[in-house]
Amino acid sequence: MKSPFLLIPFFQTAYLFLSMTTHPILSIYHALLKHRVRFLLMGGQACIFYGASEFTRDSDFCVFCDQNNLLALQNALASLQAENTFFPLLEEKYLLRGHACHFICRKEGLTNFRIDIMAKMRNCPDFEVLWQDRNNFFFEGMTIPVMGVSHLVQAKKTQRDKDWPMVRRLVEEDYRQHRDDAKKIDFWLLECRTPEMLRELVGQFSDRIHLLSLKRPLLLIVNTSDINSLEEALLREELNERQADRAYWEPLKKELEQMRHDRTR
Amino acid sequence: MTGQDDFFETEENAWIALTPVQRMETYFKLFEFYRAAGGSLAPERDSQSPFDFAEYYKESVVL
Repeated sequence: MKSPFLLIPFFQTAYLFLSMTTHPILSIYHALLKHRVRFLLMGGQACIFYGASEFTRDSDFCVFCDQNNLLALQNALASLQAENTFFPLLEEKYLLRGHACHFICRKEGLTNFRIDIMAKMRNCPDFEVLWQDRNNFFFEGMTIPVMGVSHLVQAKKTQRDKDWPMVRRLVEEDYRQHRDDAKKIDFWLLECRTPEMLRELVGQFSDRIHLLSLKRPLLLIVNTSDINSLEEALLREELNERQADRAYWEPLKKELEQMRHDRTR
Repeated sequence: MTGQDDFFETEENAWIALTPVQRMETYFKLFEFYRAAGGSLAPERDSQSPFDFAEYYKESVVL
């Protein structure tokens, strides 16, 4: 007689099939898993998993960028009746340059729901590294791979106001939930975004400051600066990142404008 | 020195007290309410977005 454990994949598949209608947004994850797309959930929904956000109106995914995976992705998107909108087309050459590909779902229950696909983000390593650092969340019979919080923080360091509260909350919630995890100390020290948290961390982990200050000079002034000075220094860091993000997107925006121009000619 | 909870907001405390699954379930309920109340799924205009093009905000396909 076969081991009952051999039946587990069957039950998982059956559960996936039966549970696919529980919520329309779940059908997006279901479609990606069913078509064996290599993906990581990122953006607002990933922030909800980590406790750093409460609401979002779209789904954002990072995908492994090769022909086979993009074909699987196209099949998954077709099952959601998702249509490529705006620019560019879902092609390897665009994704590898850092573009986002935008989709609007037409499937009942998901009408007008937006899905954004990326494969390369500023400050983030290749997909394989992102994949190794992922967190799996188990939800409604599905194993949903979610981008690791340290990379999600990097991806959220954009030129937009609305992303920076997410950066702060991601780091704070990670600290609160994993404060006994010594492997995360450097991440918190390098990424925390409030003077109060900086002071607490520097007080606790002063032995790490000298080394980490090579990456984040701000750490050297935490013990000698007042709150206002620290806030100003944090703001300067943020402004530098926002400026770097604008510079990163400048050539990509020109490409988008060229695509618009070519289409209207 | 500041206590660990001093820099966490009360509302955030309630949200983070939920498990990731509970947060997603709550999000789904919020999403359904938002849709039932007529909330749009088009992105909000954002002049800081790299995709701040008029076509991007439309709910129609342009390609």
